[in-house]
Parts: sequence; structure tokens; C-alpha cells
Amino acid sequence: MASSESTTTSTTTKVLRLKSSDNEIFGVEEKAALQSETIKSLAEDGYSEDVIPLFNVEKKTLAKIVEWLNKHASGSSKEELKRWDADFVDVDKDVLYDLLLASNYLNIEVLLHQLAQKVADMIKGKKPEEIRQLFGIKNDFTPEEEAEIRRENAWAFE
Amino acid sequence: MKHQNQVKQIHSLLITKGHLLYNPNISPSKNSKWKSTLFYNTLIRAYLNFGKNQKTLRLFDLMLAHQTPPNSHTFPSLIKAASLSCLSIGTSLQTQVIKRGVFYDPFIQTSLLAMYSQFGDLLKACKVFDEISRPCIVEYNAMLDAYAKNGDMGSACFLFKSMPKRDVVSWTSVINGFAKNGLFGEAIRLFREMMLHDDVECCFVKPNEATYVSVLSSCANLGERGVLCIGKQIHGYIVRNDVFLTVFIGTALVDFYGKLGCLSNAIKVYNQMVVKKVCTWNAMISSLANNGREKQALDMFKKMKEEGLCPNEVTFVAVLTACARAKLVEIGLELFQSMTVEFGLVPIMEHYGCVVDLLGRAGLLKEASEFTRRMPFEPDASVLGALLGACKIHGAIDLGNEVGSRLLELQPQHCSQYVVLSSINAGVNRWGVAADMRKTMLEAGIRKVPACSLIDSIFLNMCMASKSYVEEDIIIEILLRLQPKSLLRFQTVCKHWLALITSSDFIAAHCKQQPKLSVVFTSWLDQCKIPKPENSCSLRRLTEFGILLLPDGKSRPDYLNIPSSITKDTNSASLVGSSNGLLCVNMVGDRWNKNLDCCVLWNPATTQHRCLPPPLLKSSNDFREFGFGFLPKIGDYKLLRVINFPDEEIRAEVFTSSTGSWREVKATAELGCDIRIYHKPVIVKGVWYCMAARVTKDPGLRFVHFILKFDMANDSFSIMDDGVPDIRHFMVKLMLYKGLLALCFPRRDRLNKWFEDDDTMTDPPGFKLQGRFWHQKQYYWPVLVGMS
Repeated sequence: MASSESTTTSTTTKVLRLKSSDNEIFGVEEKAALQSETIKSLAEDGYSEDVIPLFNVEKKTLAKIVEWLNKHASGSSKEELKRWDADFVDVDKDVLYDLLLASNYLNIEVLLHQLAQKVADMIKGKKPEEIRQLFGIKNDFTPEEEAEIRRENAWAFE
Repeated sequence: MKHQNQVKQIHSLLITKGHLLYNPNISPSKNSKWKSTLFYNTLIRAYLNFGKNQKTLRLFDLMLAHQTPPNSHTFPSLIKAASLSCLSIGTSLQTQVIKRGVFYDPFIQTSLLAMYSQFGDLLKACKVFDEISRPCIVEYNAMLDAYAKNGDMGSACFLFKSMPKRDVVSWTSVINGFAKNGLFGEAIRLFREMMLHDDVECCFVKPNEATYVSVLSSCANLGERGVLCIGKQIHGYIVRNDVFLTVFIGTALVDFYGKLGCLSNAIKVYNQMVVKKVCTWNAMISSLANNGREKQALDMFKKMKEEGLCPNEVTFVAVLTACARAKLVEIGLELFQSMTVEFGLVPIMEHYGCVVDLLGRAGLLKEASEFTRRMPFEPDASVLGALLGACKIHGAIDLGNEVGSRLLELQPQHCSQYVVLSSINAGVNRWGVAADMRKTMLEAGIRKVPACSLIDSIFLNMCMASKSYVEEDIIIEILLRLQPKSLLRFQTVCKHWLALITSSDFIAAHCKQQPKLSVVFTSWLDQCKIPKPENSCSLRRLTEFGILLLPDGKSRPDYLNIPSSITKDTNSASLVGSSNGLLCVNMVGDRWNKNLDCCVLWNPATTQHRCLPPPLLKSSNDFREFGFGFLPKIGDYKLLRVINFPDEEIRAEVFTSSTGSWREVKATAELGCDIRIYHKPVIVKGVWYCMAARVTKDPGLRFVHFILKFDMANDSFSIMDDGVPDIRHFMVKLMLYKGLLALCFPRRDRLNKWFEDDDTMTDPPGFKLQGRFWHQKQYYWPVLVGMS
């Protein structure tokens, strides 16, 4: 399903060629590719004949994205898609990050929402300390400030 | 007197017969004394009607030079003429008015009021209005219009409510005021209130052309779901009641249907109209252009010319837009040429913007940029914005950067340019430049409105080298999907997250995302609690209420719907306060259910609510104020209800959450019964504050204004006296700003705000002037606090 062949095959349907940041070229059917608003606007601007450069997406991430695009253009039933999507987003957190960044850059709203929901589900029960670690955020509160906010919303920490 | 030439003839006759000269020999009998005054008055009126303001004013000079005494009939026309020329003439006329002892003439006062409001001097207009001892409905209407014109809708509503009687002009002034100030939803709401009002149902008041036009254009501009239905109902009402389809009503309908995408209806109305003016054609052409019928729009334009009508500037904006949409570059340019050559119109910024857009969309960036260079005046942000947008689409980095930097000089505070510009750079891997731009943006304190960044996030992609940096957009996307409880906990992650989670934009987006589990933060609602009976689809039935969330700096408010299980039997719900995410909503009955007066505590986050027992003291809607808050000292919620009937003592009662009952509170004797509280109160740190005025017997000083305090912790009233600046009129308002009590003093084009200083260690306590001002446009937000 992960169609990573560098394709120039001309079929009846039009194929767009997407180039990852590390110069790998992916062929995607136009119908599938246009789910990305970014690709859509680039295609409209005359890139459709050449290779569409996607500087922000690495090849391993783009392969996943292409897989998603194809699946969602394949006309699968809603239930099947749902199941498939659940599997799709079930990846480790580094891959999830990359996918999030890429879907945001490519502006694939549905995918972005799925991924954001996944992360939200992942972090909802976590403690602030765990969140900091997960996102690589430095705690810039003084202990007093933090205690103050905790006190105000004590019930949320129960 | 319809013909200018005849007036001129009469004028010369009067001159040659010497009627306009000073004649000392004339017998001072009653009839002849005012004869020449009469001639002058008539001439002044006549010239004013022809739009000759200068001539009108010059006649007054002549009048004085010939020692003809002006009387009360002279001034209204003159003041009207002055309001079309300049303020200084108006002020000197007012001096004349006072000198001649005719200041208390209602016609003169109304004209003066209208004049000051025309010049944007609301304060002076208010002063004139305050001088009127018993304002009649016309004067009230003039004042309503003055407030509306100057963007002070809060005061307009306050006045409107306190009017003894309202006619169609009063209603229309306020409706139109809302529409003019961009509060389209409010305009529609008021129109509905009007249609349900006794006066309309008994046919004392009937909406007129101006009312229909205001409300229809509000519907057209609101552009929300359900608005189409309302507009159609209004249209239905117009048809059913045989209201004549005048040019303006027809045009408003065409515009309405066109803007909401009902092209067929727009065409139908258009064909029904007997008389069409240029504006009608304009509305039709832009309806066609905006609904993908560019070709037809251009045909229409041709037809319009064939019918001998002269297209105006607006027409050209519409046809040029049509050309831009259809990428008809040549036709567009031809049209643009013909504007000056054929029709003698001078193109303004909008037209240049359209042409730049036309060229830009077609990919002719060089031409577009050349075009901006050849413009007779400096291109403004809209023109450059169009060019920058084109650069973005077509990936022209260098040109984009150049245009962008010009744009930033023009509008350093406008966020979208930074974003587009940085995105152009980001799009071609110039991360350094892009990151710099992003930094500049942060330094300048510019924040992208999340509504844009959520949807239009393609271009805000600042992929940093470090993986640990996750974009704010994505963070927002994730946080939006969390429950309020998690969000409250994550406030302690870092300062940035705290700011993000408690920002009004975020909360508004969160409320949208999770309608059932809306999280409401006090800090924000305190600033912008505006109750808003939400538009339901029906004009007749009021079923839904909502709270209008109007975060600062955002033009489009968001709504939080109040569940109908809370607002069952009422058609007037208002938000009286909020604390720790708990909202207190007050409901009063309509005319079928006059006894209803209850408060409900509602937690939108948990969707739970609790009805409070009925209050002890009876009151009507207009004479009471509330205060609701959590008091950390006693660990309890309290709701204060203050009743202030005119000429009666202030009475108050307090509901305490822990006891679950109301208790009456005695006001101190020093307050007396000549106090009137006005504007909405605010609560700061457990103390309730409200503007109040005491009536004095001194004719020179009718009111003494002060701030009334109520300490919610120990239930006592007092008058605030430390370091309060001098308050001289009813336009000063209290508000909460960043957790501090603030006073707003309206000035001509800004608000001066005084803050009660927190830092008692270094300075004596009291208000400090803060040097931050708002522009008139944003001026109504604090004013609307708590409006019902």
C-alpha cells in the first residue's frame, strides 16, 4: 500500500509527483493528493506537471502520509476507515510528532484532527511534569507560582 | 421653493427693494420688527435646501451686518449648514445661540446635538442633551443617533431603555447603530424585540424603510447559519403587509440574497422592482459576481450602460471583482481605463486593489507590481495585501519580501502580513529569514488569531531545527481536544501554556470545539460578559439564549449557548456575573408571566445548574443590578441584588450559597433616597462597585457622581472616596481591566482609563491614569458589559 516507487507511469487518472526533503519521489493519484490543501494550491499554481517539492517532509513520513491519502481516496466504508485510522495513528510518539508536523504543513485537516485527538487521548490523564518531559518544555514557574495555580484548581489535580 | 433660480430672483428683488437692509426709521411696531428677520430666515432655509452651505452661512454674516436680529428660527438651519462645513463655525454659532438667549429652544438644541455628533464630539453632544430639561422623543432620538454614530452602543441602549416612549425612529436608530458598528447579531435581535413589542403589535409603531434596510443589511453581513431564514421571514413580512418595495428595500433584499448565495431570489426581487437606481444595479452585479456568474455580471453592466444609467465607483468595484474572479485580465484593464476616460470617475484605492488582484490572480506578478508603482498615490495595505497574497500563491519570494516589508511599514501591528511573509520564506526553505520574521512578530506583540491559524495553517509552518519544538498551532489543536479538567491541570506546565489556555481566543475555540463541555474561565468572562439572546430561526419564538463572547482584539464574537432547560419560560435572560467558571444567569418573565424573576447558577463545564429561590424584594427589570462572586475569605459564593427605584432608598439582598437563602441588607443611612445607580456594576476582589449619582438642588450642578461600594464579605455599603478622579457626567463607566478596577472616561476619539492602583506600598492608594487608549472602533466593548 505504501507506494514509494518513483513513478512516472501515465495511467488514465492523473498522477502527481511529490518530492520529499531527502529527494525521494512519490507518485500519488491526483484525487488522493488533493486532500492536502497545500498540494492543492501548489498544483493549481502550475506545479502539477513537474515534481511538487515538499521541503518539510522526510521520506519515511511522506510514505505514511501517502498511505493515508490513498486509503482515504479508495472509497472504503466508514467503519473500515475508522478501524484503519485507529491502526494508522497507533505509532510511537516520534512518528506521531513527524506526522503531526507534516499533516499541519500539508494542511490535511482530517488527518491533523485525528492525530491531535490521538495525542490528546494520550496526554489527558498525565501530570504536568510528564507533559513537560513529553514536549520538552522547561518549567518556568517559581515553586510559589505553581503552588498558587495548583491551589486555585485543586480539584483538577485529584 | 423648489427652483433655485426663482429663489435667486426673489433674493435679488428683496435686495433691490431694500428689505434686507437695516432701517432705523421703521416704526417699532410688533409686526414689522421681525420682518427682515423673516426674510433672512426664509432665504437661509431655501439656500440650505439647495445644499449651499457656504451661502447660507454668508447670509447670516450679512444678517448680522445689517443689524437684523436673528431669532430661534434662524439657528436650526444655520447649525445644519455648519455641521456640513466645520466644527469651529458650529461652536461660534452655539455662542451666538447662548448670547441671543435662545439656547432652550428644542429645535436649536436638537440641531446642536446632531451637529456635535456629526463631528464625533460625543461629549459635547451629551452636554447639550443634559441641558435639555424635559427631552421629547425627537431629542431622545437625536441623542440615540449621536451615540450610535460614535460607536457607543452601550449608552445608546441605556438611553433607549430609559425612554418613556419609543417611536419607529428610536427603534431604527438603535438597530441601525448596531448594524453600523458591526454588531449585526444585536441589530437583528433588537429588530425581533421590536416586532414583538406591544407598540408594534398594536400598530402604534410600524417598521419603516430605514428599519428594513438596516436589519436586512445586518442579515447580509452577519453571514451565519439561520440568518437566511430570518431575512426570508422579513421579506415575507414585507410581502404580507403590502410594504411597497422601494428602491432601498429592494436593493437591500438583492444584496442580502446575493451575499447569502441565493442568487435566484436576488434575481426575482430584482425583476419585481419597478424603480431601479444605480445602487440596485450595483447590488445585482456584485451578487452575480460573488456567486460565480462573472459573465452575467459583465452582461448586466453592459445592459446598465445601455439603459443610460451612469455607473459609479461601487459599480466598478463589482465589475472589476468579477473580472478578477474570472481571470479576464484584458476586459478588466479595459474597464479600469474606461472608468476615467468614459465616465470621468477617479479610481480610488479599492479599484487599484481590484486591478492588482486581477493581475495577481492571473499570475502577472510583474505587471501587478509595476501597476502599484504607477499608482498616483501610495498604495495602502489593501492593495499591497492583494499583491502579497498573489506572491504567496505563485511563490514569488523576492517580490513577496519586498512587498511584505513595505506592508509592514504601513501596518506594523497587522499580524497576517507577518504570517504570509514568513510563510513565503518558509515555503522555499529559507528558515532563517522565516524564523527572524516570526521573532519580529513575537517582539511586536502580535498574535495570530487562532481562527485563522487553525484553518489557514498551511503557511504558518515554521519548522524549527529542533524536534522538541512543537508548533503552537499543533499544541492548540491538541489542547482543544482535552477536557476542562486536564486543561486546568496543564496550566502549570509552563507560563506559555498558562497564557495559551487562559487566552480568550483559545477559550472561544474550545467552546466551539466541545460545545457540550464548554470550559469557561472567570478571568476572561469578567472582561466580556455580554448576554445575548441567540437568534433562533423563528422571529416569533425565542427558544435559545447564548452568551456573546467578545474577546478583545477580535471582530467576530463567539457564542456560548445557554441550554433551554435553564431558560425554559422566559424571553429575557441575562448574564449577571461569573466566578470560577460558574455563571449566574437571571431570567425575567415576559408580559404573560410577569412574576418570573429568578437566578440560576450554571456551570457550563459540567452542564449542571441550580435554580436559586425567588428573591425577597420585588423589582422590575429596569431598576436593579446584580453582583455575583466567590469570596475566598469565607469560602462561599454570594449573589447581591440591589434595587434602586427612583425616589426610594436603595435596598439590597444577598444570597449565600452555603445557606441557600436570601437575606435583606440594610443600606446605611448616609445614602438617602436621592441616589440613582447607573451603568453595569463590576466586582473586584470581593467588592462590588457601581456608578451612582445624587440629585442636588443646585441648578448649576444637577448631579454629583460617585462610586458606590458594597463589600460582599461583610455586606456593607459605602461610598468610595479615596483618590477617585472627578466625574462630571453619565458617560464615565466602570470596568474590570486585568483584575483591577478601571474607570473609562470617553474622549472624542479615545478612552482615558484610570486604574485603582494596587501597589499601596510605594504610592498612596487611588486611581492612576494609564496611558493606554482605545480607538473608537473598539470603544464599545467594555461598554457592552452586562448589557441586556
